[in-house]
Amino acid sequence: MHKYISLTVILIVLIGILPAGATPDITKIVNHIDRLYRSMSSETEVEMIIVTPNWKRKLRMKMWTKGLARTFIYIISPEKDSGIATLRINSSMWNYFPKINKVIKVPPSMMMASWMGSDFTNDDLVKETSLLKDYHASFTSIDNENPDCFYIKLIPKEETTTVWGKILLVIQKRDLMPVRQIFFDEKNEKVRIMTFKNIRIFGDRRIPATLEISSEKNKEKKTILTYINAIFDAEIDESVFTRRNLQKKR
Amino acid sequence: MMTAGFVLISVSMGVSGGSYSSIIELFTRNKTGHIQIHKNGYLNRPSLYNTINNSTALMTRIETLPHVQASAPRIYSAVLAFNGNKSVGIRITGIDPDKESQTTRIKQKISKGIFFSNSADKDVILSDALARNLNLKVSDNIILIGQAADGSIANDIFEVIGIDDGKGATANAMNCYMPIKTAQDFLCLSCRIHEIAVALTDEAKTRKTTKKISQLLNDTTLDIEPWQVVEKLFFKAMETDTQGQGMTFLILMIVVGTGILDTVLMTILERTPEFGLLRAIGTRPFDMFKLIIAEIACLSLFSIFLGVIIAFICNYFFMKYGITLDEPFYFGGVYMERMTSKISFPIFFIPALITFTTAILVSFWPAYRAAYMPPVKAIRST
Repeated sequence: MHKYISLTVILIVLIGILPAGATPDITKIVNHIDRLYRSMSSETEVEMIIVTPNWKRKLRMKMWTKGLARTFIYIISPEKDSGIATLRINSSMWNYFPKINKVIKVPPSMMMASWMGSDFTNDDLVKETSLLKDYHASFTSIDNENPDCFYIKLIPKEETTTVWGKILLVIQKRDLMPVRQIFFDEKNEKVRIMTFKNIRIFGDRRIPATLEISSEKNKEKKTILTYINAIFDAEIDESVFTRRNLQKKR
Repeated sequence: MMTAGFVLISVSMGVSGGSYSSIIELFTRNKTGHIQIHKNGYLNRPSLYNTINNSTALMTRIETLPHVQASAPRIYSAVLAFNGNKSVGIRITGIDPDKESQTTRIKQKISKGIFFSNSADKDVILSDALARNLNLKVSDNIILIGQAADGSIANDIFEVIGIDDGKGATANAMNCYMPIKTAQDFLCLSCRIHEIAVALTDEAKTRKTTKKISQLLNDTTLDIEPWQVVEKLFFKAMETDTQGQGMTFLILMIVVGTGILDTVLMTILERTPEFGLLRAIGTRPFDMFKLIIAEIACLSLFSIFLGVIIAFICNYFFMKYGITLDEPFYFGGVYMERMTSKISFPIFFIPALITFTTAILVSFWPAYRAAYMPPVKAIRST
């Protein structure tokens, strides 16, 4: 049943984006990628595996989002970290540590620091950046490119606040699923690669359920984020995104 | 005069040597130990992950060596400490309470509260500077947040059971001590440690024992360094100061040498007519010269003997009671409150050598003059 739904979704998307014989519409492709993981609200359960040369750690957590401005995350396991929660409202972010019953606001200077030791920065969680609105998109080509993929170069607009000098987006032509997102710094040096894998259907949405971020500077370091459950456009109470909820004992 | 010169040099050397010994003792007994063992590169670039994994076996082997008094494992990490709304960056040091108290003086430095009794408790001992900074006292709670070795955020509440006296090598340091087991659990380090501190029965054997430990362990992944390398800035400052003191001693020796010359000249020149008389009754000039030199040698030996007795009494007094300073002075991270002397062979031998050699050397010319002066001229001289 899910297969038919997903096929229908792909067909609708492809009909909308790629009319027969027409040049692909880059705006529509980027917009599709932009909205892939986004919805008015979402309730997800994810597993995060962090691998470094010194340690490996697996976290399981629940995440709630509402619009682009609000996110609430709390860690379910391992037991040692259970109950640690993160709340983001607009560009403000707080972490709660139940063992010491303390809420710590993440200062602006720490926004580029790692979130819970992962390759995701605090900034990654807070960012409201839209690939479509905040970047100039253009088709590009690379050496040894796969003919089954689109290669889109994203250059930040002047007014965009970002640490990236360029993003290269690799998308499968047949179903417009992202394959890779390569991030470059201002010196045009590759900094990190986000690889999309394990395409699954959650409700009416077909998305890569596994995102793997690897660092170019430290090849032995990577973070694998896997969606276990996801409900998009779910009914979520406003009280989820409050300091009171952040400090609630679970 | 010769005795006074001897005593002056001997006491100066004794107090200088004693003060340095006290500083080294403070440094090694309060903080570093005499020898430290780390994983390669830890000393220059400390990292939570650069750990020694088999510390118990290593320490058992090290303690079989002669001159090794004790060894203690340690863990270090930088964390954020909170008390209410106040926070400060601090260094936590995980210590084995029993082994550490055999290696350093940490147990004696507790001025308020108690030392660790159960190595598994969530107890901490704070440095005086940290306790004052966060306004904490014994029985208060302190919150610590940092990075654990498994990538998680280490966070917990600990009870302050003691505060150190804020003196010596750890003055001004934002230190928080906790039992090593507690630190390993807090930082998810299991049985790993960062440092082994080794205390010796004799500081002078440091470099020799360092070599012996290196030969015994024969492990190229370990850096085994004496305190002179571990605290190289302090050691360099001390060496520079010692060189400066060398100049002071040289000036002191010139002053003492001039005094001895004066004594010798007085002794010989005042008795020139008597020497002339001896020559007149048939004493040969060379015998005369030998006689004068022998007399000066005897005089200087007697002065040295007397000087040794007086200098020993003075140095012993300063060693036992010291010179208490009105204002403690700070040197290389150590607060000195008292200057003490140290009795050793060089503080008697070097002044003795200087006194004897100077006396003999300065007596050559007046002795030669008295011995070879015509007897009539010598008798008539006054």
